[in-house]
Amino acid sequence: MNNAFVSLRKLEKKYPGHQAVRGIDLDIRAGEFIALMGPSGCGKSTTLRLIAGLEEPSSGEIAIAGRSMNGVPAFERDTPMVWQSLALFPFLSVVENVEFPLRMKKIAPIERRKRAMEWLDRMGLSAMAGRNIAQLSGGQRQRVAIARALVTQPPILLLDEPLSALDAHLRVRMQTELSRLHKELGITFVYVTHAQSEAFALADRIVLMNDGVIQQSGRPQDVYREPENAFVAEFMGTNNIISGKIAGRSGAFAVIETPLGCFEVPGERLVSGPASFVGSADRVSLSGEHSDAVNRVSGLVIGVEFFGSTQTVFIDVAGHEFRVQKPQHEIDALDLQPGREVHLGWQPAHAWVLPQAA
Amino acid sequence: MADAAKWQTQDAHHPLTRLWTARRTGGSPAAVPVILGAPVVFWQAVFFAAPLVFLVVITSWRVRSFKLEPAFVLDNWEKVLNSGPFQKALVYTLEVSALSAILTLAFALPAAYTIAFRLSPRLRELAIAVLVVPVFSSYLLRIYAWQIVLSPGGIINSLTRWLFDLELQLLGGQFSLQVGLLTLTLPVAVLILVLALSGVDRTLLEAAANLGCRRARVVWHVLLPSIRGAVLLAGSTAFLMSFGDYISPVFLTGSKPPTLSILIVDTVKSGSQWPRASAIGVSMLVILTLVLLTVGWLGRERRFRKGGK
Repeated sequence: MNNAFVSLRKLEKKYPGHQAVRGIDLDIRAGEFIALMGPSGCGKSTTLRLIAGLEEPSSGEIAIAGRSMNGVPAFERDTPMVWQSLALFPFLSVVENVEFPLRMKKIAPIERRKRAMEWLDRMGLSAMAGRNIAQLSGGQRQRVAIARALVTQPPILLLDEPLSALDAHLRVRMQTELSRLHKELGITFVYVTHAQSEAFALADRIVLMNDGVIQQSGRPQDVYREPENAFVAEFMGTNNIISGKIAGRSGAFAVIETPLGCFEVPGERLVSGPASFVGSADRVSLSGEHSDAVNRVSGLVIGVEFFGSTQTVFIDVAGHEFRVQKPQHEIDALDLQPGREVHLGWQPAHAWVLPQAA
Repeated sequence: MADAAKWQTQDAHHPLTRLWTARRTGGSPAAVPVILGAPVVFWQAVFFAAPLVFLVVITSWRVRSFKLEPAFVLDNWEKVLNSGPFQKALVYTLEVSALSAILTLAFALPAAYTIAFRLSPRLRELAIAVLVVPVFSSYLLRIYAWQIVLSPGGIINSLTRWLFDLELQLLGGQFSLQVGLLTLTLPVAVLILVLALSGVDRTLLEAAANLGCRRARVVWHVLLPSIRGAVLLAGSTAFLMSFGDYISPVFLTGSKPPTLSILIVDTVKSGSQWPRASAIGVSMLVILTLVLLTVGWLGRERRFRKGGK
């Protein structure tokens, strides 16, 4: 290899009593918007801090722009970061905050003021330049933190859950702004988040981590539709995972035998052995009448959860909890009361067999 | 509460009881801070404000054949402010206190930094305990200990005599005086700074490094600005403690040259000049107030201009 801008090789980080990162191999292309995603404690933030040099790896290697970063202190790496807490300096004004990295580079006062003001202007904050940080709103502070990180024209920007402190409305606006910045600047963005919606909306590629290991990496739609293993399928939150064993074949499809019945699933090479497949909640049909789909089950409604434009119906199918996601008007038309019997069905082609059987 | 109810049922007709119960039960919430605050106000009035007024009043009294006489003369102020010994002592005391404040900060800042950032949590607790304990021991005792250590026949001189055949004049000068004052000021200053440093958000330090700030410069660019208020507080506390101190100048310099505190005692001893001693005391209070006002002004929140550049 490689034309990767950032490359991580067999990266490990051990702390006394636990290991945060267990052997990560990852290449990040120049200009890529990559999201490190996973539950808390999965090692995503530690990985980001390792790239920034805020932590020293226990073993393995980090290279940025072809240069090994082992032993290079944080202040010598050009890897600015946006913190969840933003970490703005409260004793400096808005413009002084943005000037800070330029001051560290010993750029003359007039020049650095000019460049800081250009960035504030770009973020729509030039009227706030002389203000105290405490006088700004959450969204404005966010933009100051981004301006401060980008004022030195770095080749990469690291973001550690930057939007999780904002309210939903502001979060969406900042997502748009980050997307726009990424397109305009063309630099590499490494974005750590536990929120699927942010990762899906922003990233070219998602790296899903758990327990210090990468579980899957790929385009958001691929990770969503074609999860590698049960953890990934589970993390997506909208998948019904059914396990069983391959019982035979039916034309182009394999037949899998499970406690809930036999189902046809895609897979030309599947002949025997244990297997799990997922039926995505948005691809399962729901009706009061019997389904005529090839794969079908029946169950009792547990409850309905409102998610905005869509609703999720929870259904008890022989002790197994199924989730089905439908637009609100469809759910309303069905008049679902807890305890009512409903029938579910899905096409064999819409099921996905997990490549790594549990 | 139960008592009040009993009173009410038994002697509700009694006017005094009615007054009491009315106050207890019918009082508005606004009365609570007044009731809670009253003892403090009373204490301050009796033991601080009244003596202070008396101290100021007494400066205009007269002394005749060693007896105080009420009068209204400005003679005392004139004598004190124009006297050479007072002016010399004032300048000397200010110098000593300023030097003490600087030395205190010079020793306390690195010590506090080490305690707050370089020690393990257990060692940090131990260090803080070691700092706090001397505050509760007698200051006088500690100064006596220094006398023993620094005196011509003391520990240091015994050592230097034995090793280099050298006798050092340690006692009775600025050196011994500052050693004594540091004994007083250092634990307090280090405690103030350790508490302030412990409260500094560590992500700010990481952010500084992340933005290209070398470790040594982080102290100057982030750490000190973050604890500016505490540095001013520690410095001014050291200054004021040294300014009013009597024990170190007496026992470690033998009152030569005299500080203002010593001058007050001398003025009273020689001819019962209570009015003039009071004038010196009031001058010291004025200086104390000025120092506090200056520190308050320096330590105020930085107000940034509103709007554009």
